[in-house]
Amino acid sequence: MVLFDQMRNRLVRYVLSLGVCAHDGEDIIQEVFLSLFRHLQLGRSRENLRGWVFQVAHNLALKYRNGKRRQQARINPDSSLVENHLDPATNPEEQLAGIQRRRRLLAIVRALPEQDQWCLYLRAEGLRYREIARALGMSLGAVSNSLGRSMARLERAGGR
Amino acid sequence: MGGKTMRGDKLHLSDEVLLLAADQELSPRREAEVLAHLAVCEACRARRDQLEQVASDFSRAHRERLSPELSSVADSRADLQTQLALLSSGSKRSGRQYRLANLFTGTGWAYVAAVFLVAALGLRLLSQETLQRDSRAHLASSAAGPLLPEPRLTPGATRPINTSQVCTPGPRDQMATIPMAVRQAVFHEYGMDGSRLPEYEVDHLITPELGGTDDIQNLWPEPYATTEWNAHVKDELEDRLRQLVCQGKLDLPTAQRDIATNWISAYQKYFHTNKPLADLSSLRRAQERRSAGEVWVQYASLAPMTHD
Repeated sequence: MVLFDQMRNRLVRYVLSLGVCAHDGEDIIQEVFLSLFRHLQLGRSRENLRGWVFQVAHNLALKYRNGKRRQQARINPDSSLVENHLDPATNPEEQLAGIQRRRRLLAIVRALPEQDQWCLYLRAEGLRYREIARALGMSLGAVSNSLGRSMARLERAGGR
Repeated sequence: MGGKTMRGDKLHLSDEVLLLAADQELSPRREAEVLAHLAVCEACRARRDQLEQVASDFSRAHRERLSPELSSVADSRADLQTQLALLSSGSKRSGRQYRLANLFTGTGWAYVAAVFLVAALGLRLLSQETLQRDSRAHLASSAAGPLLPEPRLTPGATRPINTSQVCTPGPRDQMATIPMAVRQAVFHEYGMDGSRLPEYEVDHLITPELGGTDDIQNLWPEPYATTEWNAHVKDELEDRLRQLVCQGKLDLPTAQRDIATNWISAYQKYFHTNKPLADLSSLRRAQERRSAGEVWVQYASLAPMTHD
């Protein structure tokens, strides 16, 4: 349950970023952890467990998303980037610039190939490269390629 | 010159190497080289800082966008505990339908361990029951998972449904909630190790959208990605059949029969191809790329990445 508390919000955010709704996201998280309990109960490898957990979540999320593709609109991408995230330590102009910059970054990411987006979302949830590789069934080299390319793109176009 | 990139007359570390170094994924020797270079190269230090800043900004943007969507961790944890308890009693209902959040207060490890033990015993009993359902002997070859369902175990099962019901949009909750106990039973039936569950979708042979039921006779373990004929490919077939039925180009019983008899043959028949159209998903990605054409034009000129 410690692991659950540590990972739950990250997993939910990740599956939401893949385009599933919040209700399905919760179902997916339940399934992921039931699988995890079973995995551990059978004495299976604990190596790269975070990567394993995100792999399960990823596969389930794609299944849910594809199943409901026709009916479900994606969540509004930037709706929550509003004033309640303002940092009181900076002045209003800087705050606004920060929000605009982050919106721009999100827009750029949405234009990337899907696999590059997945790598970025997993990275944003704090996964290490080898964990991302496990979650997406990619090689470490492919992950670092993808992230290197995407970061450079974000840095150039997201600019300051 | 792996990991380095030219700029003018100077060699610099590539973005990839800078990122790998930050993630401590380089060999000790390579890491020492990178650190030595960074110590004397202001441009690479600046580049590293830029990348770290953009990564941090993106992470923040990502969290800000999605965190408001999060529901309570405590409720979620309680749901999970409920599901574990239900699993131990062999219930086939979804735990979310039984929110008993107040039942489990004080979630110490001792309690969790106890739930776990009960769940373990329950699963063992369940597996013994399931073993009796079929000899499984002929399924020993399923180490890589079956491409096709075994007709004796998964002949397919349908409910009464007509075309207009098939074509009326509505909630599709059925596919989403095959309980863990049932999925485990399907795995055991196919002689497969439950620990491989994440690699498979326990899928309806006849999709609920075409009238398939949640009965175990309509369920089988389908690999996600280990073969070219995987679960994602079958999803495309299901969409296609439904489309044809709703366009009046195919009658529902034929669609049900074809997908139940041999879904790969059905795919080949209805997509007029011998191989999965890999990639409908690739095609979609290609479309996304085209729509982001400007991005890709820039990418084309980006290798190798350079910086000052």
